[in-house]
Order: sequence, then C-alpha cells, then structure tokens
Amino acid sequence: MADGASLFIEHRDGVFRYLCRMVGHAEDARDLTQEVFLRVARAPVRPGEPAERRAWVFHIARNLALNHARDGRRRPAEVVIDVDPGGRATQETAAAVQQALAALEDLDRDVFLLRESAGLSYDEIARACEISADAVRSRLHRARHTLRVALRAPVSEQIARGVRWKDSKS
Amino acid sequence: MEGFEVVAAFVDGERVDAQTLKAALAQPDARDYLAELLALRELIGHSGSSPAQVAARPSRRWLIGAAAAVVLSLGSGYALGLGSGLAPGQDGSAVSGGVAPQPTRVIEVAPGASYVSSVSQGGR
Repeated sequence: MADGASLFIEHRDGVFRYLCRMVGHAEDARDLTQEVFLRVARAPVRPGEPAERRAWVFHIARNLALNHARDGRRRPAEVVIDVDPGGRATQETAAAVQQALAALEDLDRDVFLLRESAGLSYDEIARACEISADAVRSRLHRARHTLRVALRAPVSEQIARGVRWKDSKS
Repeated sequence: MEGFEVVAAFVDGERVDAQTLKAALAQPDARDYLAELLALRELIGHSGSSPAQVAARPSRRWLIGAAAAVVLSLGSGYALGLGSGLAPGQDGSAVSGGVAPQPTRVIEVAPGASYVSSVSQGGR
C-alpha cells in the first residue's frame, strides 16, 4: 500500500496541471491540489495497483474541481504563459487554447485534460470518470476534433515551427 | 479501430496493432492527423501553468493568512496581559526599568539560629 507522501510526490505535478486547466486559475489549483492530497492522506483504504491509485487520486481531483465549479468560486481564467525561452506560446494562443477548452462539453474536457495534462491512460481515465474505456476513446476523439477545428491557425503555426514527440506526462 | 483512432491511441501510449498502425500511416490524412495531435499537445503544454512557475510566486492568500496570524497572536497576547489583572512584577516576570521587585517576606539572619527544617516539627 502506498502512503500519502509517495502518492503526493508521484502525482502532485499531474494533479496540479490538470486542476490548473480545470479551474483556470493557478492559485485555486494549488489550493485544490493541497486538498486532494489531504483527502488522500485521510483516506483509510487505498486501491492496490498503481494504475488504480492514480485513477483514484485523479477521481478525487476531478470531484473537487467539479465542486469548485458548482460552488461558483470560479474566478476569471488566468492564462499563464510558459516563460521558458524555448516556449513559443503567445498570450493570444494561450487565450485561444483556454477559450477552446472552455467551449468543450464538460466530460469531453475532463477526459481530454486527464489525458493531455495529467497523462492518464485510457483505463485510468475510465476509472477516474466512471465511464467505459470505449467512451474515453470516443470522447477524446471528439474533443480533439473540436480543438483542431477551433485552433486550426495555432496548430498550423506549430506544425510550421516543427513538432516533437512529447509524452503528455512530462 | 479506424485509422485516426489507432494513430491517436499510438500517440497516447496505448498498445496498438502494428499492422493497423502501418496501414493507417500509409494514408496522408492519418499522417496529417499525427502531426496535428503532436502540435495540439505542444500548444496545450506550453500555454498552461507549470507547478514551478506558480511555486515561484508567493501566494497572496498565504501571505494574508500569515499576516492575520501574526496580528491575532499579538492582539491576543496583549489582551491576555490586560485580563490577568497583575501589576508588573507580581506574576514573577521581570520589571522593566531595572528596578528590583518589593520583597514579600523578610528573613532576618541571627547568629546561632538553626535554619534546618525538621519533619517532626511539621516541616516548618
């Protein structure tokens, strides 16, 4: 059984990235990340397999993000740009990405972000969202299609600049 | 699994059938799709917050909380001092100004007197 500390070290960054996208504000995301791991630490029983534990942690994160949205504690989305000189996103692109994500259906967005921001596998996303793996596949496909259409220009610009293989976990 | 799906699953690190993937990648549309998925992933990754970036900025909420805690502890300490009703020095604390506290009992030392207490005398 993994303890809370190891789960925190392993999944903190992924949970934070996912929550940043879900709540649109880094400070709220940080508070929620802390809350996620408080709940993880307090939980008496943890699933045994690493994939199950990961899905369980993100299930908690997702529920907290949904509660946060329901409670109306949303603030205007803050778009943080990668300050790394290698990062090429512009303020406009970041705003467009945020807008395109916001326009997705809620569950499609969850599935997409669990994949792209958190790096969960299809099975893990299925567990976290309590849907089937086939549903994950089809929602992911739909979300990507919508985003490719909405972000046609930035995607083309990125292709023109070049793409590299990047695991979404990193 | 159709062409686009197998490409997406491959990009997502899922296990896919190699022959299906080869067949899919033989299609120009699927190759375009592969490039678009990778470009989209870069866009999503680059335009989001990273934990390091946020950690570098002090949390406004945390600072407000810390400031409130300091003010509260100072205020409650002051209020406790007022509420104790003790004059300076009566609670055993040092008196400011370098003045010694007034004695509460005076013991005079006389030659030949015994200062050893005995239990049979009640310890006094």
